[in-house]
Amino acid sequence: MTTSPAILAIGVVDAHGVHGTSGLRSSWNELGGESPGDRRTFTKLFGRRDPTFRRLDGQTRAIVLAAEACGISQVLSVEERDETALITETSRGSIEIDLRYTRSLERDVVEAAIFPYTLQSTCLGDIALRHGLRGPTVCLSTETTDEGEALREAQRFFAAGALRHAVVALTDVQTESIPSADRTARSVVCVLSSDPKATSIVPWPQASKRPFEGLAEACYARSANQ
Amino acid sequence: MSRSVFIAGRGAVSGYGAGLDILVEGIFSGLRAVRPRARTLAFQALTDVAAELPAGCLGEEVAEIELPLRMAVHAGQAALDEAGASDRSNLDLILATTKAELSGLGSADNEAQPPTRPPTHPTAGLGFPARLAQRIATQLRLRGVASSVSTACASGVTALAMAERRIASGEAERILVVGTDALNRFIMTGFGGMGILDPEPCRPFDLSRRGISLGEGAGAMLLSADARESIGVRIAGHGGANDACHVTGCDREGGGVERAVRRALEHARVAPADIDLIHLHGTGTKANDFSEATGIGKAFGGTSALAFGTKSQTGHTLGAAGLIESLIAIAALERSCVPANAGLIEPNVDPLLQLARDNEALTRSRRALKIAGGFGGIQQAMVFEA
Repeated sequence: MTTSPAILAIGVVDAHGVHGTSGLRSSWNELGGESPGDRRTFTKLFGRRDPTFRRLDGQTRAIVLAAEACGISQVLSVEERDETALITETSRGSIEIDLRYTRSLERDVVEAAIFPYTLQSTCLGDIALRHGLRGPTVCLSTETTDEGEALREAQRFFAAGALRHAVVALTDVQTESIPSADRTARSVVCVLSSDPKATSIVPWPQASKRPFEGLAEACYARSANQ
Repeated sequence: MSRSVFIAGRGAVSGYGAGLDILVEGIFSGLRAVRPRARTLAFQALTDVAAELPAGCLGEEVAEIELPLRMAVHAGQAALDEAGASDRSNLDLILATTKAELSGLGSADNEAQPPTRPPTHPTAGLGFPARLAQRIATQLRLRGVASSVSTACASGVTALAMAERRIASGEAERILVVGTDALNRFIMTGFGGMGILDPEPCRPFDLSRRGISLGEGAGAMLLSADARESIGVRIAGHGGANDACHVTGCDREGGGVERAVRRALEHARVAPADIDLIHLHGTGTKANDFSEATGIGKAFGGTSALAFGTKSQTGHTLGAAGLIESLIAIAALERSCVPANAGLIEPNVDPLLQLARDNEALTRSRRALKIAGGFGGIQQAMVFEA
């Protein structure tokens, strides 16, 4: 882990809105509602219907929107995406679906269809499917939010020479209050490249204590200048 | 810098009981730990069988919600003991699990046994891998970094691959990798609701298969950069892939499996002909069986090495499966023998997958290929070399 990877693109979904280096910039005031959006958000943002978006849980909705805002297909070819890893970190996991599924158990009306989404990695399947990411897939669970572990894991992949590109994400979504836990609904997605010829659009967040927050700020600054 | 990564210690807890020996003996003697349900009979599921941990095998009665921790600590301690790892001051942990100690989130089944939890943690009262990793590290007195990964049923092999990368690069000298998952109402009802539980003990790759059997357990491996600590086996390579064709289903053409196997072989710098045995994911669903067999056939470009799966014996232990089954693959290398696929009578998959019908002695037992898959299209493959 010597040279920092190049950051090719960033997408953010947070309390402010949906922003991305693809040029997408929209606030929740404009969109109506709040993070991570509702079943209509995708159509409002992208002007096209998505057959599955309305059925997605909050965690998946956040990462799907952030990945779209990132503009993965603008920076990675189809062939490159075949060899691109998908790495995420989360401190809240699939807590929303866990709670909803458990309530269905208690009512004895089991929501079997949502059970697969109680597994943290399932929402990654949605991203892989939408963007044709066929490299290794890793979902890390962290004690606290924004530890940057997914970024470090991407660097390890690059250092091992296993691949040249990675889509790396932070996703923490919990729209319902539980004891001792604030509500949050945030996803930051970035595309990294180990190619020494690749040009980074923002500096690598080396000294940042919360690296994804640093990436989100860089994304805002860049989209404000576009 | 890239160093070899050796297996230095092993431990397991399974439906056979506590210990690696009892697991390996059970597998090679054809016994099935998938039995009529007992503890889990407290909740409804569309099957009469599961590979539950035998009552009392950890020395005392353990509340269901504490099983993932207790099984992980037992398996982890055994791995440390085998390696003689007395210095734990800088020892890292990587935990593989699907739902950690989640046990119905305080549903009526568990009210009588409230869990002891740090009350200030954001996910207090909920199962969460990162917190379970911290609890395991504390109990085993590991003072290095505790990480956790949850890639569904591929978690175990994913965790081994993560540990290999860290040791090979020089970032760590030794890492304890533990996979653990327990059966509870949440899990059994979920899989039952998906309609993929076989009402009888499962029969992967067989014409009469009807789905999976669930199990619980923990597996552990201590990985080390020091060849002197090795049990005689190293991780030669690994590869991951995503089917990217369905969120929960498999690629019927086996694309993800094929890519994962090819990448693992490439990483290990070996050819398909260098593989002597394959431990399959083998869940017992038609979709998985077809996908896995087809993918392996494509990656091998012809008839595969002798292959077997053990979920008809251990049940599907979810996040623990990758560790438990890798331990069995290593045992097969050590014994120069591939155990029979229990319950397999009439194979019904791509014939290029060479399935073991009886315990079959190997003329060469140098390399084993382990395959694992999980929801989200995740596929993993790993090559162990003796």
